[in-house]
Amino acid sequence: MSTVEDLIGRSNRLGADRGNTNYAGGNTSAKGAGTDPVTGGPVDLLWVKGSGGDLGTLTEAGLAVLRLDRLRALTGVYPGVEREDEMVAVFDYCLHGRGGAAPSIDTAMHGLVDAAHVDHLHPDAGIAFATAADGEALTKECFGDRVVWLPWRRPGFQLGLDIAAAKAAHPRAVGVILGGHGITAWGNTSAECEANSLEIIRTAQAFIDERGRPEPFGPTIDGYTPLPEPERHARAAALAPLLRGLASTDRRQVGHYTDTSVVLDFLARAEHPRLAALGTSCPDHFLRTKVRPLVLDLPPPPPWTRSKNASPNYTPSTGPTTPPTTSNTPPPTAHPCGGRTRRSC
Amino acid sequence: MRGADPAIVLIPGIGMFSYGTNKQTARVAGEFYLNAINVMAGAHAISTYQPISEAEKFRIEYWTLEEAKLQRLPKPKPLTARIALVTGAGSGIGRAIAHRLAAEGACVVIADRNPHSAATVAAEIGDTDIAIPVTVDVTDTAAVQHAIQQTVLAFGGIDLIVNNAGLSISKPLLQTTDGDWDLQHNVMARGSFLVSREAARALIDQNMGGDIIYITSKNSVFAGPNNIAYGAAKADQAHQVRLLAAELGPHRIRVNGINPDGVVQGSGIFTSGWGAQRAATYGIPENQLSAFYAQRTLLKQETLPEHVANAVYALTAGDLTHTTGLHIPVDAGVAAAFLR
Repeated sequence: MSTVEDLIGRSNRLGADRGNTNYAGGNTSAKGAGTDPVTGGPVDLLWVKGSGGDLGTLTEAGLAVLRLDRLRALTGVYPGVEREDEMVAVFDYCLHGRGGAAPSIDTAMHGLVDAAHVDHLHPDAGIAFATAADGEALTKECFGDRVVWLPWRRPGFQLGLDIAAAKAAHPRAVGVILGGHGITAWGNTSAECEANSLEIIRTAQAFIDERGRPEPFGPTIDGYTPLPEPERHARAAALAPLLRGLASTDRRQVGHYTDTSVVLDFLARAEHPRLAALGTSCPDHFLRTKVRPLVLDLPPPPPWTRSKNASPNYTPSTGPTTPPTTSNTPPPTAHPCGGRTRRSC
Repeated sequence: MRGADPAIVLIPGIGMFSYGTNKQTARVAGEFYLNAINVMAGAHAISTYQPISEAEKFRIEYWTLEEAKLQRLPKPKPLTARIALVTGAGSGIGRAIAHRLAAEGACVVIADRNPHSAATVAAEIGDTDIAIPVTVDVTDTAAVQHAIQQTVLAFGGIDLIVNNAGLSISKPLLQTTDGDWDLQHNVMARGSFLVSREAARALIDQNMGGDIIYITSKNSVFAGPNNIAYGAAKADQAHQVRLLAAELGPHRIRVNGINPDGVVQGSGIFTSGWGAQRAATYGIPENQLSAFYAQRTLLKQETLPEHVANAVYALTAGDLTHTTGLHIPVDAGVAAAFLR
């Protein structure tokens, strides 16, 4: 199989498992030989996942292709971390032909790390270490010198230089935990790189399973446990229009509702208000989720009341109410809750 | 600056709402928060959770490089982020309307009393992030409430309703049974009222305005023989348009109607023998009925379901924001049905 085929296969396998990385998160690369049509001779190339798109469904058309010599020469013109964003535009001058995808911000990391194959992923288990207050010590304890801790730095050319330096300084390492962000692994072959990525993720998860305290979110709170499904869905349907109006203040939105047990359990537990206020965990997420959620702290059943145009379904404990009032009634305003509304923004 | 409105809303006991400009983006945003919960569980199990600083988060959220990535996304379509419910969308005019709304970027609930038809039309659109089927008999209050509930749970809200469900039983007065009258009034007059009432609750709560479109008929205006039940029910619907335009205007909800006529091809009304009956009355083969009707119009054109769908699009795509209480004929020109 060719370099590109191996890279696509590895990317699709890694991306297919949401335990390895989030949707459209992370990127992979491979270095190998190509032919320069200008000279007819060999040229070292870097194939790297381009900007946007999901690893699980990556195809060759989603790869950026760059000349490795041109990419590595950028260290000579790098103006320093204050201006590192300017380097992204310069990647265009390193492209091998016009057909590939747009290079992503992480291209520097893949080019600068001195290994033929590099995986950058956002696995939940890895980011648990990356966002742990004791992350550096725990990385050492869990991985020894096999995985190196790097403190948070915004993705870009400087982070690429930092990861390359970490690999050079730790010859036995197979990858890094990127504080506040994710992981990067490498290997001399595609199979080795894929194995190293999976090893880091699985070792991290095993450490959490064995050493983690039970009930990390604390005990359940009375009145916050999941409502029975029919009532839960009825309330969600009643709230949905109000929430959509709120979420669409800037721009019209559509919404997705989920009551999966992971969410319901989190919201049933004592730590959720404090943790929700701390916000989401990976910079990749912020553009879609904003930095933190709104927790709508409604009083427990019996239900909140609405004003005059209440539907017969709105008061489950008493059954159907009287029909709505006449058209002479001024338009009512609905209040989402009778009790506390705590905005965690 | 982005606004202060949330993209993720958590409600203990109930679940999570996540938002985006289309359903897929909204769902992915929710998945990212599931990732966050898993991360927090792991971090808090072995240590305490400590993400990057507020200042660094701000730098990321407003990073010009990420803005550039957003600029590369395809431009939104005219009905992007609209959420539509079309009744009687399993066939004919309703099906054509559903297809047009979906093609222009809306999320569409394909509502029909026939679950197989609804499922077929949804499958034709072929993406549950865009169109889903819902079974609803519009004469049944609980079913209508359930359909609205399913719509807001599937797409987070509702803002474009097309009251299209209908049928036609045209007979002389003396042969029009109580059942003929009741059925047509239940489906069209009462059904539209129920759908409008239940949808209006959600529209008012959303406070985002919206559109209610009634597919009425030339026969809501034009008086001819042998049409007492259908014509009266359609006239009822046509006046609902005006009444609701007057009542829902303060909520920025526009209510407009479309008066089709002679839509034979692809129509549910002209199947099951009705088209054959009309053709026999005129002494022509049934497959020439549409062309026959066209010859009676001013423009001499056949009216197809797609032409009605075009009018729905024109009313809702943003150029007629200041129009409410209007009825648009889609009939290739029938002078007897001109409105005054």
